[in-house]
Amino acid sequence: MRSLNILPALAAALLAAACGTRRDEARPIVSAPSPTASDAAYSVYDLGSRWRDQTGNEVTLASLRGTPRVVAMIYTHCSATCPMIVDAMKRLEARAPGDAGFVLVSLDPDRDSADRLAAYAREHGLSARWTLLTGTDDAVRDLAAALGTKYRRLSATELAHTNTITVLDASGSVVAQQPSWDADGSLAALRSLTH
Amino acid sequence: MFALVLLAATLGGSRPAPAPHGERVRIPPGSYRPLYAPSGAGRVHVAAFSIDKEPVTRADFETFVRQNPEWQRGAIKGVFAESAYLSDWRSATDAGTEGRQRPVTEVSWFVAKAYCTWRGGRLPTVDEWEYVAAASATKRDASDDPSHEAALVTTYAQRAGHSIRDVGSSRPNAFGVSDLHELVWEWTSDFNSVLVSDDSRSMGAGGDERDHHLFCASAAIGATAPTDYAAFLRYAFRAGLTGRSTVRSLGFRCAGSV
Repeated sequence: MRSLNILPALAAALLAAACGTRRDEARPIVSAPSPTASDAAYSVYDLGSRWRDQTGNEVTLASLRGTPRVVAMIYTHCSATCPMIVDAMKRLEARAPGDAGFVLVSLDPDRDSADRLAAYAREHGLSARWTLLTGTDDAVRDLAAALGTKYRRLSATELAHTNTITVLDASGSVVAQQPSWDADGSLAALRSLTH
Repeated sequence: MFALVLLAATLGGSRPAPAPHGERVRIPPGSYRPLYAPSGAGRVHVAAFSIDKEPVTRADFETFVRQNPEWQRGAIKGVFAESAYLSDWRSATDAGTEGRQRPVTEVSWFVAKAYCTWRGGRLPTVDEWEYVAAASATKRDASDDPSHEAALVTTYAQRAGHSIRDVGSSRPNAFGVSDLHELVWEWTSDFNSVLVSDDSRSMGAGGDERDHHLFCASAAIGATAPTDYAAFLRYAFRAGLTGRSTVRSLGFRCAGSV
């Protein structure tokens, strides 16, 4: 029975790994699951999945290659956290170097058609630097798994999801992940890529 | 010579034949009580499906990587697996002679998914896995049996201190499925769905946006069965993974829709 004594410690370690964020810590959310903490550099663009953008064109993730990108996974019917994520990204855009792109990927592909994404971009005044993507459930699950994003459908109309902003370098490697309210961290990462 | 043949025959006869490659058990529809229930629901309905009787073995997985070179160690793209992927194999296509009937581990979610697709199946969902894993040897739903839960916690502690055994070495549960708890943790298709149920809504108007504990701390509070320590360990473990994680104590089995 002695081995049982390790369990509380194990649970605490697992929780510490899973719960990187407390209210007073302005630190990256996903300390343990973060792709940035892993070994060699790799490209999220190697996922190879196919998507549709807000103009209705079919695009690959790899087409985002070539410039730093700020990425978040949201859904357009989300009324609470998603507008905050988009606002945080717009504030980043105002301060970020000129060649960085901004990408919103829908967690709700059934309802987020290309037309819906286009309307969302208009409603939120998103510039030409923004790419909005919708795909299949599998493509969404793959990208979320690669980025360390957690999400779950709560009902036909609502999803729960982590509020993370990811910065990718020009090759698609994850260089930083911050909760959406820590825009300074994302900005620093973005500047380090372009200067 | 005769003695040797006799010995071999005796050994062969006394040892139960290993499950044929990909033996799958049909699971009837039912419900289970998740650690984190969606709002308003104490139990979650699970439709009929099928699931492998045992975890995927190193021998099984060797066949897969030999036929699918893009998933071999060294060839695989970094986004799909960490560098520890199959690190204890003799080579990219050779699992070695030892432990071929042990569960394959140090495999990422992306790879596990590709394997199941290759087999004509898919990974089980969290709901499916937890539903089947709630069974004891005698009861399909042992979630109300405190002694079962206590035994699971002991099982997890014990397996952590031992090398991984061959698949099929534990008694099948009441569904006829083996090794769900005894050998390794297992991947699920939606492992990254672990968060508190009201996450996206708890930052509503008037709230300080930093007064938001994301998914984890509040998840434990919202758990429907906060005393289910064994389930808590499983959910906490899943929460620490990304799709490319490769962990020594993490394997998988496949499922199918019926």
